[in-house]
Amino acid sequence: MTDETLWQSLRDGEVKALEMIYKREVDHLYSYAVRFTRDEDMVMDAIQDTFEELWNKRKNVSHQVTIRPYLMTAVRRRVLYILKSRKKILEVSDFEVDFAEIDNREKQWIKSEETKETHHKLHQSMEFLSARQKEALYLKFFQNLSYEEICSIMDINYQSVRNLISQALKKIKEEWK
Amino acid sequence: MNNSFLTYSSEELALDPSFIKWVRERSVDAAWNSFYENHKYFQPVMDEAKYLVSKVTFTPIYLEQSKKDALWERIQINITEDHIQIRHILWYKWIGVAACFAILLGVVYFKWNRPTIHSLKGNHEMVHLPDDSEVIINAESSIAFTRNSFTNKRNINLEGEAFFTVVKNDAPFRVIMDKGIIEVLGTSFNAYSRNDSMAVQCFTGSVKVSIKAEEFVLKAGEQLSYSGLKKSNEKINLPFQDNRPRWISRIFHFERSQLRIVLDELSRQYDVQIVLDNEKNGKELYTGFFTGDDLDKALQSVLWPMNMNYRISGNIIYVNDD
Repeated sequence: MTDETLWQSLRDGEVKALEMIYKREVDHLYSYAVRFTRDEDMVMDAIQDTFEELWNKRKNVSHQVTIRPYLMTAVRRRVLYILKSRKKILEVSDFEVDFAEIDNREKQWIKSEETKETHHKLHQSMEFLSARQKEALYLKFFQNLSYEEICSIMDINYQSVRNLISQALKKIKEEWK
Repeated sequence: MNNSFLTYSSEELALDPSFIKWVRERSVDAAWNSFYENHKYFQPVMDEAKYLVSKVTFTPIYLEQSKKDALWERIQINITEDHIQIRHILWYKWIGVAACFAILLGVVYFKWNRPTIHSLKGNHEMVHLPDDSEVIINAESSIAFTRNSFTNKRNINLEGEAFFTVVKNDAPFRVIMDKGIIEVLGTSFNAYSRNDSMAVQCFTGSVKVSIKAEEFVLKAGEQLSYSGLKKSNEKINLPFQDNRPRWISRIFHFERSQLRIVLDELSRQYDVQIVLDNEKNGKELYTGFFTGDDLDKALQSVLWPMNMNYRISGNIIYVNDD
């Protein structure tokens, strides 16, 4: 089913449409949002809130959207908002977003030493990138999103996205030489 | 194949969708294969671009299917049921806790007219009822009620432990447990019903408790405990003046409680299994508390005063005498 028909039936109040969107997108949303924090529960909570709000506001959402970037923007905003307010509780002044290219829990799942080695090699090349560079690469290479879509998700302008990505690739290239 | 690719830098090439596809799918695209073979001088740039694409990989991290289903279940209930709101209670202040041990998502069993809301081990749930009353359900506990008649007959069945904040209206609010019934109009109270014991603590207003033919009235700050084994009951004043039970803040207090009961509570809050190596242990009396944010600390607070040791293996904890 296309985004347009799904979105239209969601606006018409079909719970089934929301369910289809959920089933199609939940993996993408989780896989993205969990890179900002190790708190799985908090990510699930952010996803729950996003879908409930989408439902409550279905009559007022715009007619045409690309569903995945739309939801990624919403979930990202919630996760960062919660992380920010937590920092306030802890009275930490600097707020820096983390973006992990591989989650710690996952490292435990890699069982044999051999695969661990390959994984390590694969990921160590990205360790020297900044969180925002990694995030931009993730959206571009893993999610195959357009520059425009990445702009709206990361809430930065077109040129900044291009710069992030080209600088990141340059760094990786330098590492190779 | 577009010859303008020959003017690309390796970064630009690495960003081209068809090129990425060619690299990721291990060179099955014949057009790109021949392009590669026919432009020997351009191969170093293409190799560099291939390297870039291969370096930028991310491992997908997915939720387990059961958690995905439970999450959808929750969303669906919240958006389709007008007057019931279920939230998984999170502990934002307790940073790092979730990373230490896995918290299982609660599972909600739901039938339209007879909803049962069940909180799993390691989990608390908050439920907003059709009459605007609120219930917080402790780990491994459940409530059930009948929707059609709920506004006239506010009857709730409880297994385990829950804290009720009841909105006052004409219909009496009843909590039906294995050993007795609580009846209130508008008040807040905690109800506990597990195995042979039952306890009710009144926090505001007053509460009527019936156990078999006997009736008791509790005022704010009073607690009634009943033991089915001894067939005895005891009414005391609560040792603290709070407006809600401490388990909601994940502090678990005990006054001369059997060790078995304390360890059962610990196993519910942390979703672990606790094995005592010798039977007499379970009967010893414990006074103190543990908190719900760190398994090791909690085990120490309970076992150290009792001169006992423990060993953690997966999610089983073996307890033995010193």
